[in-house]
Amino acid sequence: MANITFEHVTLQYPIYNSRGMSLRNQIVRIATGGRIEKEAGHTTVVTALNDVSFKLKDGDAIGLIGHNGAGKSTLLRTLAGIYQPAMGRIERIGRVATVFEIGAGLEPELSGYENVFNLGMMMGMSYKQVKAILPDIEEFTELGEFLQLPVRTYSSGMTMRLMFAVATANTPEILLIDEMLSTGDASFQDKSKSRIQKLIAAAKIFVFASHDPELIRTYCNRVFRLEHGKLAEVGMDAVG
Amino acid sequence: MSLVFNAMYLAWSDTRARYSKSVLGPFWLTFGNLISILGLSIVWSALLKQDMHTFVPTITIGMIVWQLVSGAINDGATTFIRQAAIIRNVSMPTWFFVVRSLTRQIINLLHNMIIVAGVIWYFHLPLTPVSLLAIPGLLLVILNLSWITYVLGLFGARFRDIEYTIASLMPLFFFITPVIFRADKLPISMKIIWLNPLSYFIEVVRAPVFGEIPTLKAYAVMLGLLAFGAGASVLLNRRYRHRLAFWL
Repeated sequence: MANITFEHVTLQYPIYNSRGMSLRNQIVRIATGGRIEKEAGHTTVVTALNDVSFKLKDGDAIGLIGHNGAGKSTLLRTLAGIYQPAMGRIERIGRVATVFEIGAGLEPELSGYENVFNLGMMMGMSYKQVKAILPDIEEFTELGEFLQLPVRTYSSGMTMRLMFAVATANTPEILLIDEMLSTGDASFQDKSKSRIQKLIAAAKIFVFASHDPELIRTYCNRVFRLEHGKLAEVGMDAVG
Repeated sequence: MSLVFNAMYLAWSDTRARYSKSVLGPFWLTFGNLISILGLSIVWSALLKQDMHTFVPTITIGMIVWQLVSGAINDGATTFIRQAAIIRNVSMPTWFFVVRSLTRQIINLLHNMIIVAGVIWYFHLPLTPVSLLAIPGLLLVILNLSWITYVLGLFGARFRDIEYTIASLMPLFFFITPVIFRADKLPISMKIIWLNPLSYFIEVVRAPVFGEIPTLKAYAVMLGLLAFGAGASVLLNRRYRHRLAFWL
């Protein structure tokens, strides 16, 4: 059983420019009581999520839409527990798997197999568990001999297959995906579709941020729109 | 617990990736150390008219412990920056990355142990039961390095100057730490090196190898640092753990 509850979640995101990251400026600021280097401590605070409330339950497949910078990625990271909100309450039950940035955590010099172990173990799987999902990954990715080659030789579509396969092989209860599914070819699209549908049928939660109306219609049964950090649930016809 | 194993596995994988396609692999580090120890031994023992039999083992053990300490401190500031891609993608406890970073240093240390073993064998260094004290000494060093890695990593992620500040200070520390000399050979005026906490990091490991029990003061400093560092880490972790992802 998986569920996620957001209650009045507000998340603020500090952006440090090079001055904000500079130790000298911080020291000068303290030493001068903040008068001379007024700029030094100046960090822009972006309100990425503004009073967001929703409830996700078993079998929900959410399509997340909104302009660039509307807060989709931030919401996904908050869902995963990577970002902690300044205000509000979050309740999350279920094992989370994420596919956010293509290539994140991959070691280009190591082979596909070695990277499967790395990725799996970074997600908290044991060595044995990763070993157990290897046949599934071989089957799903269809990478064949390529799995023995360094990942730097992979195309973005192949990298995506690998990351998606590892993230979903262990049947997560909550699967969060940012964009990217569109990088695969037709056969990968089919496979990932059936896998996601299996996941939803098994009463898991799936959240997917995308600009592609077609993909949202295929995968999702609810749609959230983010606008300037405000979230609203909209009908499927609003997808466009 | 299995997460600790995972972090260690990843450290090994990091090491393999770093030296992939090279023939000697991580042994390049061992080889480099061997060369510098050889060079230092030949030049300094002639210069200082030292007895090779004690001088070479002193330098060797000093250098290898120093590699561990300085390696961990240098890498400490980038512990989280280097893993930014993972921290922004997977929710993981912060200590995971500290274990990963420190394990890489320990893997390097294990490769360097070959030199130590070789030197002990070649110079017939008499090993006594006291020598076993080097093991708890090393453990104290590693425990202290873990909080140092954590604290530096956190500050390094927030303030990007830390990394370069440390890199430029470490050579200075090399000279005010008894790495290539034994502290008891120093004139009184140089006793200030005992104000440098890193001196004790070397002594608690090296003194036992030469059959001397490290001073009570050395252990007190190491344990005191550990208690202080552990406390500071817990406080910092409680306060800044959730901010870390925003800094990267």
